[in-house]
Amino acid sequence: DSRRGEELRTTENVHVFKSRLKTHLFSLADVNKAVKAARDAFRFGSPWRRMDASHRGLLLSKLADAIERNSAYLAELETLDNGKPYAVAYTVDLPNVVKCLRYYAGWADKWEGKTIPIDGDFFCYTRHEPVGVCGQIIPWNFPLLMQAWKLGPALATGNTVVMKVAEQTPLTALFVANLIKEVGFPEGVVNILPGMGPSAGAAIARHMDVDKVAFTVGHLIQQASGSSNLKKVTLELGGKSPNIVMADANMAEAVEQAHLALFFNQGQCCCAGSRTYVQADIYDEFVERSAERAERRVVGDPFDLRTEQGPQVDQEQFNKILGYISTGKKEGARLVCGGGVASDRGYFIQPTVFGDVQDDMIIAREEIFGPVMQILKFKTMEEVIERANDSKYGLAAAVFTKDIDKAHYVSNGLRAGTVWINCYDVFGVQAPFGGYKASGNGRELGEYGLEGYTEVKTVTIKVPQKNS
Amino acid sequence: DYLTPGKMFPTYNPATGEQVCEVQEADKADVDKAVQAARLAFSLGSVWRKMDASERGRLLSKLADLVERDSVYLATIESLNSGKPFLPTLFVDLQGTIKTLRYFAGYADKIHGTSIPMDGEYLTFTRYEPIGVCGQIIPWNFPLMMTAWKLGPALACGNTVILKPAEQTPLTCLYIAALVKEAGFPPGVVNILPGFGPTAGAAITSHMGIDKVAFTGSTEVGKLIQEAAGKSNLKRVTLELGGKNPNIIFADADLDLAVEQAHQGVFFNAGQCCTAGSRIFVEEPIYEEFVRRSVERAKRRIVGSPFDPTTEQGPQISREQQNRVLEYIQSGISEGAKLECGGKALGQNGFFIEPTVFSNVRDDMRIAKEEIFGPVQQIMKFKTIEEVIERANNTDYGLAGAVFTTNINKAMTISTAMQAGTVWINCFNALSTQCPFGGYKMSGNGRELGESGLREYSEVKTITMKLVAKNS
Repeated sequence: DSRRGEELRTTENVHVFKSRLKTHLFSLADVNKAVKAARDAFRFGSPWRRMDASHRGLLLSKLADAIERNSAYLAELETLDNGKPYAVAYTVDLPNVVKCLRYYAGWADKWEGKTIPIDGDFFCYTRHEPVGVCGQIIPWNFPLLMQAWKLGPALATGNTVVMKVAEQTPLTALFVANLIKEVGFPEGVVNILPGMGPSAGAAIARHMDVDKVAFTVGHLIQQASGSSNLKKVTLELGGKSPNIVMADANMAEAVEQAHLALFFNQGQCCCAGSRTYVQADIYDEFVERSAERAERRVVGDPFDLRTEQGPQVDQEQFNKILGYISTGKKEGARLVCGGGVASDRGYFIQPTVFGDVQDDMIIAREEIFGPVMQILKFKTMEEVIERANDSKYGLAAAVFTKDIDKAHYVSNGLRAGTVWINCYDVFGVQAPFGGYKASGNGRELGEYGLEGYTEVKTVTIKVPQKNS
Repeated sequence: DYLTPGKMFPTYNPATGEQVCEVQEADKADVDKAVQAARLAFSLGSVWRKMDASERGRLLSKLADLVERDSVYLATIESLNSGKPFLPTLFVDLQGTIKTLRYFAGYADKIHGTSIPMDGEYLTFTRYEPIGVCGQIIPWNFPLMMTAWKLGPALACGNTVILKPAEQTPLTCLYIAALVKEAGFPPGVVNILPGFGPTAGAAITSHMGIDKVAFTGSTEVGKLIQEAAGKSNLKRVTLELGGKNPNIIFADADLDLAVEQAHQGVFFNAGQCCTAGSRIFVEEPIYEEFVRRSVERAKRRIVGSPFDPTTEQGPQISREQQNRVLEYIQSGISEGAKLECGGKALGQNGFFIEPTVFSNVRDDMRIAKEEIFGPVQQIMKFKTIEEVIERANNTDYGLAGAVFTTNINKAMTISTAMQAGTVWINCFNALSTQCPFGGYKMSGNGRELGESGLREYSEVKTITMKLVAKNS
């Protein structure tokens, strides 16, 4: 109850609670315990290994049901811990968590190997086996959703899991851990640890008895894998995603979508459309309308249902973003609106728009992860494809146009794992998501999401006489 | 939504022969109405067509939950109407029904087309679309399970359905209709019409407004359906028909296992299974012992009231079926097979038959060639593997088959050589919703269950779009 009302109280309460929690954060020893439990739950002949695949699916389905039952509470907890508006946590994050688990529940008994007509008197087939003990390290920007994206495919395929949740946002994952036990997953199948990246996260990445690590944020993981046991690595990393608006686009829609593409979740999305390329003919009007929209963005207490934008997740992010804004000003970008702190308490930043941004500016190259929009000008389609691809990142991209040929030409040309046409941030658990280049490797979601959690075993049996 | 009552027909309890109640009978006019409703529910822009695939899955999942909620009630009605023993009905039929619905619920949003690197400046992809209005005609031997086998894939793929349960067993299917509505399926998506084959069934198979018909039943009727489809609008046809399934027992088999599995394989559901292992080929060295043990086992089989928990075998479905089976038994005797045990009707009321075993059966006897669909076991002798393969395949049927052996080479050879849609190794009737099921030759065409089941309920559309410049 003291949570409702002033953002002041909200932030301070969370702050105090969290620092108390941090003193109880697990040390290296507990990572070992968790890996041991996961390894034991994965042993040949264990209840988890002997379980019908369809029953694994049923357990995931029950977990989805349990989370759905607790949606209101979980959304509150998520907002308290992360700062995202409650209305969004309840209507977007929670339903998508439930859908993700239900989707993967359905895959458990459908992930089939093949029988293969090889040469010779042999019968050959593949088995899709689980990889084993999977380390999963998840971020703070979508705590519950990222947990579901990781648990869904890993458990559907029969792995056991050691999950380190972000130190900034451990609360909802811990509640879900209880639900996992309640719905009946065998002991040791899922192990959830709050911990710090450099200690617990690194311990998992280095651990000789972890078969795979899936990580959202950070390239050191790959090095750690190489120097330990060559564990499999899948990574979902950052982005500086280009959002291309052609002159023939529906202006009102493009402005609104570009706005949401950047500002959603306080700008804390790996796929944020943080380079908005607008064709010369409509550039000035687009910048003006974007500034007007940004000025209208309601910043406030996340528990106020009118709020569109809550605080950034912590002091560190807050400082970093303000640093980028200052850099942008210094580099000569035109500050069209915002640019400062939105409140004298908490980590609130004004929705900020920069115009006349050049490709070589730091704000055009580095991931800001905050409510700061960059709008750049371009002339031709070929030019903008080249400029859009000129980034170490390649997570997502979009193009707004009515022209069918332009839409396909541009989307074919963009080196990005997801390309949106006349929309942005459209996700479906059925559709794979992941990055080209330094935005990561592997795909999450969809059927593709199962691949990273599967070891393929080929079995070849000698037969007296092969017949087709 | 229920239509106003018109004609009625009776339905019976085969354990006593008594009438349970009367049921509304659908005829051609009702089929027309149902087609209208189903067609409307399928129209472009309808609630059902615009629904997210995952939501279709949710509805099927909800239906599974409701079946689970009411499983004791459903098992009771199923037992009463079909004569199947209650406990196996609760633990096997109901579980199979629930699992099948859940399985296909999970598939609804996983039906993938592909994007294709074709030659030329084109972007090409396939969409897997629903076929449209699907007629589904199911038999009386597993009413609930057959309902799930049909509704599951059809609805997962987004079709609308007109389902006619067997005239002998309409009750559980009608209850499912109520659960379909409770689960929240839009009106017109599922239409259940109890009625008879020659009227309602025929109306479905020859209807110009039905895009596909799926039938499970006898080969004899299956042929009529294929004909009717050809004569009307060339509707897509899938058929699950009869079988005279070979069960091959080698001398090196685990004999106890083989005897028990062969026993259950033919006597399960009072022999009323399309997969019944009704030709048991036993390798010569163990033949006598096998027959002796099989007879002993058959004599121990408990025939009785479906609601008695010790009952293994209930009645046949009807007087007609009972008479048919008894007639086959007579033919076996007159053609010279050795009646080892059983052979007669049992009791005064209901349609019971003693578990019956024939040995010294020759391949040319009627009981060795024709589907009896009753509790009658045929045991034949064989010498070599080549011989038994030829004899096993020497039939117009091809639904299932089995081999019992501890030798891996024999197992691989037989399973490759057998012309059957399902081959069991050291087991029998091991069915699960993840596995495609269907017949070679005159046991049918198409496959149900597994991913294969979805293919039969989809129409593939290839969309090819000109590009300004193709790049890989």
